[in-house]
Amino acid sequence: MITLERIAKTYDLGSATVEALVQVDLSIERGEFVTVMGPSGSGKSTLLHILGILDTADAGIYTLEGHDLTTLGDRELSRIRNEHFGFVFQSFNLFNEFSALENVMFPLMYAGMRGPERRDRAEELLSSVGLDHRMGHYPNMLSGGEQQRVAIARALANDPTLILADEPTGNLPSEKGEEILTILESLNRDGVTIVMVTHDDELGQRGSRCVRLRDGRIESDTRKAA
Amino acid sequence: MSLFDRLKTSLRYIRGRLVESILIVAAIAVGVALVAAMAAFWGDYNRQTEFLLNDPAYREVVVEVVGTERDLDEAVAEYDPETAETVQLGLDELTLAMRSVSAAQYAYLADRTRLQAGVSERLQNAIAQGRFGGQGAGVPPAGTAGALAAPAAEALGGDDTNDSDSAPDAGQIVEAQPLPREDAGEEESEVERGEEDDTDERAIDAAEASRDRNQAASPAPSGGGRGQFDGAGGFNLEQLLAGSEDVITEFPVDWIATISGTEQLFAAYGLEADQGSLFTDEDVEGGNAVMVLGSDLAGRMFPDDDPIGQQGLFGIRTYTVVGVLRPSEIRDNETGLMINEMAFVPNSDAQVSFGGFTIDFTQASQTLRFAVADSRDIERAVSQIESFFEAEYGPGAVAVSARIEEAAEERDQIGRVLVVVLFLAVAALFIASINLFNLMLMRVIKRTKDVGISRAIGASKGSVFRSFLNESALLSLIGTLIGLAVSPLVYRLLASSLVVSAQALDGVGSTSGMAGNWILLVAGAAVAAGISIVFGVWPARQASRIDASLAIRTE
Ligand SMILES: Nc1ncnc2c1ncn2[C@@H]1O[C@H](COP(=O)(O)OP(=O)(O)OP(=O)(O)O)[C@@H](O)[C@H]1O
Ligand SMILES: [Mg+2]
Repeated sequence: MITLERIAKTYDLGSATVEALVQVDLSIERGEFVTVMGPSGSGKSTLLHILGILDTADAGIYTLEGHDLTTLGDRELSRIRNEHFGFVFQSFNLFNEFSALENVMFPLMYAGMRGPERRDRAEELLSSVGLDHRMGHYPNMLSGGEQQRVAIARALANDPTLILADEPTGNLPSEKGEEILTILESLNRDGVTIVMVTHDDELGQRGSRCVRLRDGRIESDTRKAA
Repeated sequence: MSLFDRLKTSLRYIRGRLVESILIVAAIAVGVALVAAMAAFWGDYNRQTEFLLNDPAYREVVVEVVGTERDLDEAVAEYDPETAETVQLGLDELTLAMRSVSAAQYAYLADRTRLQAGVSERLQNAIAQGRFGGQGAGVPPAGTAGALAAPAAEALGGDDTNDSDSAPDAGQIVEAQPLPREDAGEEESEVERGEEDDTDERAIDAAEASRDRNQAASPAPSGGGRGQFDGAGGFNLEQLLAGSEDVITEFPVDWIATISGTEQLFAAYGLEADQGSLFTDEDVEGGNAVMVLGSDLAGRMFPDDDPIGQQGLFGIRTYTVVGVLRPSEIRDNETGLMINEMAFVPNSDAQVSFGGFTIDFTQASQTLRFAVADSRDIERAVSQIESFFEAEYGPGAVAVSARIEEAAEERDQIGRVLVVVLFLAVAALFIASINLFNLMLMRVIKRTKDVGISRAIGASKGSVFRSFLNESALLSLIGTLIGLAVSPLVYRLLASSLVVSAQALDGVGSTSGMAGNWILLVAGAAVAAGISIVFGVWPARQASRIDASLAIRTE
């Protein structure tokens, strides 16, 4: 489904250059639950952003469902992000000036869904993550766990095929983190591909495959026997 | 993302920073209101001043005997009372001057006077008190005035209590007083003031003059010291007032503002007859009591009848209406009255006779007027006229003035003020736009993370750009609408403070003036809105260039 070939990302800091990713080859199949691990600064987030086309690699080829993404323009790439990918971040990243419901409605709005339909869909999504009673709440009125569930609802808005989660449980106490992981696992069972960055060894073993990074390179790539 | 959604989102962000948003909207509103009002005002001003050049008053050159009617301030420095005294300006001088003044196309008299319309209450009282009791009234009284005069004459008949004291009363009938030369708007009070001081005296002079003449003309009056005339052909007011049965002695107006002039006056002022005809120089020379009425005045005086051929008592003469003017937009700049509200009579220094007597109106005009067809000729006309009169009467004997010179100066002054105000208005809008620019740039920076998030969930660069542009355009649009709404107020404010004393701009600053300039208003507003939208483009562009990956990492 996704193929990265010889992907490289270098940050030029003037005095020095940081090689965030070096010659990364990676392919991810539909329905996989990939956990990405590695020490801080090893390039996990960079890899995730490149996978989610939030960032572009300096070199290498990104193929999605057989299409070379380097040939596409911003509009098309944005549309892919909107319709096929869903992001979940460590720090939730909700729009603080908008309610939970409105946050979930944003990707639907970008997709061009009409008002009433949008509202129904957003309500449905929030109920599915157990937040029926928090729809009108603003992010600062919600707990971390609740915020992350809103973020997941938002990521799921357009029925993505790939969820990219960057330490989604990093800011949460373990029992709340467990809730999030349960949601992700159930999504994965429904066929959604998941790539999750984590520092937690235990969580790292919950996926079907674990990729370890070190200094921008893939150190190991282990699949659990199904 | 639909425009509606984008607007809704922008409104949410605007509401999120309400005070800041209100302030920027207010700043834009002020800028837009000023620019729009100034643009309209500017157009108004230019149109008006252009129109002014065609106003007959500004194509006129006025020649007066120094020290008579105008302020002595205006007298030329070398004014010598000895020589000035001898200058008499009248029809003859006018004809003479016209031969050497080639630049001016018209030469005429146009004295502003006031004519009593019909028999005044004052006159009625005077008659009732018998001060004019004529002995041997030959003609039976007719009409209202006759009816009123009859009992008075009867009651006081033969009782010659009146002596020469009656002269001032007689003088008051001759309501041919020059109207004060004043600006529009002040006419009311000025007329009253004029009545109180010099005009009364002048009327008395005229009356005394006429009395002297009449005394001279009539053989020794019986009963020494009597001021009235008796016997056959004696001064009989009843007779005078009675005239024929057709003479109207009651009018819905007390007096009429009149221009006492000569034939060319009409051409110079661009006035044409709508009904009947204008009077001619023959009427002037013959001293004919004919009258031409302005359209509104005619309608007011003769609402039901055809005015042409109507005879009425005005002052102490019976005038026949020979013409009604076509409606005109012109305002008489000396009295401030609409021409449509005025009457025109021949300026006769001929003697007027009635009842076998003649009264000489010694109001030989002291003011000659010349007019050019094209206002560009005015300077040439002024110098020709000046040199003619200097050659004729010596330097400084007459004052030659052209209103356009005063007006041009006033206009230039206002023009300069307008440029400054327009500049300030544009500056205000510019500063407001810069503030909008700063504000939007600040918002972009503050919302860097939001931009990163929206890019992550599917917003394109274009979408981010449009969202921010939408927000700034919404702010400037609200400001522009408010500014437009208040711009008529600002316009009026500007007009009232800029046009306070400028008669030259009469008509500028009226609401109709504003409405007449809606194109300029819209253009001004469009430019205003354009400017403030343009100032939102750069911040929006910055927003669209935000590195999403970097933005999303920032805390
Ligand atoms: N915008 C940037 N400019 C310069 N260097 C950057 C930038 N973004 C990332 N880096 C560097 O690239 C390397 C990889 O960063 P990345 O965020 O991918 O690490 P990470 O594995 O996610 O670390 P962590 O576990 O702390 O989140 C790091 O050395 C980081 O300092
Ligand atoms: Mg990271």
